[in-house]
Amino acid sequence: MATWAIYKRELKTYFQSPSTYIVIALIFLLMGMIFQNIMAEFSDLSMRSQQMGMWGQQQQAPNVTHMVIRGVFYVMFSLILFSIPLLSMRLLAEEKSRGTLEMIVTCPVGDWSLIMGKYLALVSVGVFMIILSSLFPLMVWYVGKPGSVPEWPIVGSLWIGLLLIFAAYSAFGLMASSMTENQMAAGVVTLIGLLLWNMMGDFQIEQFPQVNTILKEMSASQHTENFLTGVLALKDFVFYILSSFLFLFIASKTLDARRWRV
Amino acid sequence: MAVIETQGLSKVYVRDVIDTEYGRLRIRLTGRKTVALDNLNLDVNKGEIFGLLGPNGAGKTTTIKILMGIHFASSGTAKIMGKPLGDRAVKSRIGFLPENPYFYDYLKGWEFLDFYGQLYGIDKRKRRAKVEELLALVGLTHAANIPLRGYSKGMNQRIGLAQALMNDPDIVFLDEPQSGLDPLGRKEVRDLILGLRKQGKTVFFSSHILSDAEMICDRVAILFKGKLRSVGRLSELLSSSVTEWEIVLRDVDERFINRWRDRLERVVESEGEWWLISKSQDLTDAIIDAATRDGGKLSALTPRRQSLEDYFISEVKGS
Repeated sequence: MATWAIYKRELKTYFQSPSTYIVIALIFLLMGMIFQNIMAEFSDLSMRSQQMGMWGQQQQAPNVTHMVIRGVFYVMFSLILFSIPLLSMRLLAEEKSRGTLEMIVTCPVGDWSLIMGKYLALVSVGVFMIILSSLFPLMVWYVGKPGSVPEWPIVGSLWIGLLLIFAAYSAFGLMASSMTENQMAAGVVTLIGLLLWNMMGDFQIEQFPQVNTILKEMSASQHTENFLTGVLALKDFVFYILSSFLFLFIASKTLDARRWRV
Repeated sequence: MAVIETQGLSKVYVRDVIDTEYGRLRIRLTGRKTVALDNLNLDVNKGEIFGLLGPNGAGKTTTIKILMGIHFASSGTAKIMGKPLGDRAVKSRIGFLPENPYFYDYLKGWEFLDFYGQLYGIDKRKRRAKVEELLALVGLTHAANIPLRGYSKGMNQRIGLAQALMNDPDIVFLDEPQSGLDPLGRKEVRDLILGLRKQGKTVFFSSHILSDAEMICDRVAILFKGKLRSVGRLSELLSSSVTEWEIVLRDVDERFINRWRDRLERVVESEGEWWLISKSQDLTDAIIDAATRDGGKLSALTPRRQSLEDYFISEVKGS
C-alpha cells in the first residue's frame, strides 16, 4: 500500500510539473522533424523505384519499417538518454534537500517501497512516452499503401526495447539521485554515467582482448542492436532487468548508509 | 513501565573530507568529528508527558532523530515498546512531528493527511473519517482544500501535528512543537498534548520554551552539550522550599530601609511602597517585626519557589 501511495503521489507530481511536458514535447518535436525528413526521403526512393520498374529495370522497393520506423525509433533510443537525467534528478535529491524524506522514513515504509514507488512512477512516464511514440507507426499505417504498412512484430520489438532501456536508465538516474541532495549534481552524474555506459564498448585495450569483450557486453548500446532489428534475445532482457535491479539495490543501500553518515 | 529506553546512546557526526561551508568548498582532514550526544541513559514511562529540554545544540533533535530511525546511533542502544529501533510494527504505533516540518506544498491539507494515512496502511473509509476528525481537532477544517504552500507557519505546525496523529499512535514524538507559534497557538498545542495524555498516550517532546514545559510535563530531562544534566519529576528537580520572599511595606522611611539594605537582595521604592527581596526566613521575620514596631504596615508577603527556568539556568551555568 505504501508503494502504491508513493507511486500515485509521484506520478501526480510528474504530470503536474511543466518540466515533464517540456521534456516530452522536445523529444517528440525532434522525432517529428526526423520523421518528416525520413518520410520525404522514403517517398522519393519509392517513386524512383517505381519509375525504374516502369523502365523495366529491377530495383528493390524501400521497406517502410526498416527505413522510416526504425530510423525514428533509433533517434528515440538516443533521446531517452538525454531525457532521463531531467526526469530522474529530483526523485530523491529533492526529498533529501527539502527534509520530506525524514518524515517518510519514520512511517512504516521500507526503503525498498520508497524506491519502487518512485521508480515505477518514472517508468510510467516512459510508458506514456512509448504510447505516444505509437503515433509514428500508426501514421505510416494510415497513409501507407498495401506493401508499405509497418511490420508490427518489429514495431513491438522496438517498443519492448524502449521500455527496457527506459527502465534501466531510470534505475540509474534514481541511484544517482539517492547519492546527493543537489538535483543538478544528480542530473549531471546521470548524464555522464549513461553516456559512459553506452560508450564503454568502444574503449579498446589492445593488450587485453578479454577485457574488451567484457566491456562490450556490459555496454548498454551493445544490447539495443537486437531490438532495432526486431530480434528479441533473452540475454538482452536479462541484461537490462539485472542492471535495473542492481541500480535500485545500490539506491536503497545508499539511503540506508545515509543514516550512519549524518 | 518504560516505553522508551536508551542506554549509553551516543552520536558522533563525521563531516565529509570535501564539504561546503558558507557556500565555499572546504577540504577538511582534521576536526571532522562533532559529538552531538554522549552516553544518554533515559527511561520514559507509559502515559507520561516527557520533556527533553536544553539550549540550541544540546542534542535534543539528535536524540529524537535516533529514536525515529532517521539517524543511527554511533554507540549505545535504544528500545521503543521493548523493541529495537526501526521495528516496522513499532513504527506503525508512533507519530512524529519534526522541528521544521517540510511538506509537499502542492498537496492540499486533506490530501497531505490522506497520503500519510496510506503510508500507514489505513483503509480508505477509515482514512477519510480520520482526516476529517484531525482537521477539526487542529482547527483546520476550513483550510482542508487549500494547498499547503498557502498555509501560515502556525497552520503548518498544526497540520504537522495532525499528521503525527494520523495513525492514532501510542507514543507521539514532537520536536519543538511550539516553535514559531503565537501565544494562542502555543496554548492550543499545550491543550492538545494534555488531551493526548488523557487518552493514555505517551508524549515525548523537546522544547526550549521552559514555561510551557513546566506547565505540562510530568518529567523532564535537561541536556547540555550532548550530555544529560538531570532527569526526574519537576517536583523532585525543583526545590520545593521557598528560595526568596518578597516583602512590600508601607509607612516606613528610608532610614528604616537603610538599616537592612546590606542584607537584602534587592530594594525598590514605588508609589510610597518599599519592595524588598529577602533570601532568609529569619531576616524576613525580623524586618516585618521591626517595621510593625516602627508603625509601618505590611502590604504583602510573597514566598517564591524555584522555577524550571531558574533550575535550568543554574544547571547550564553550572556545567
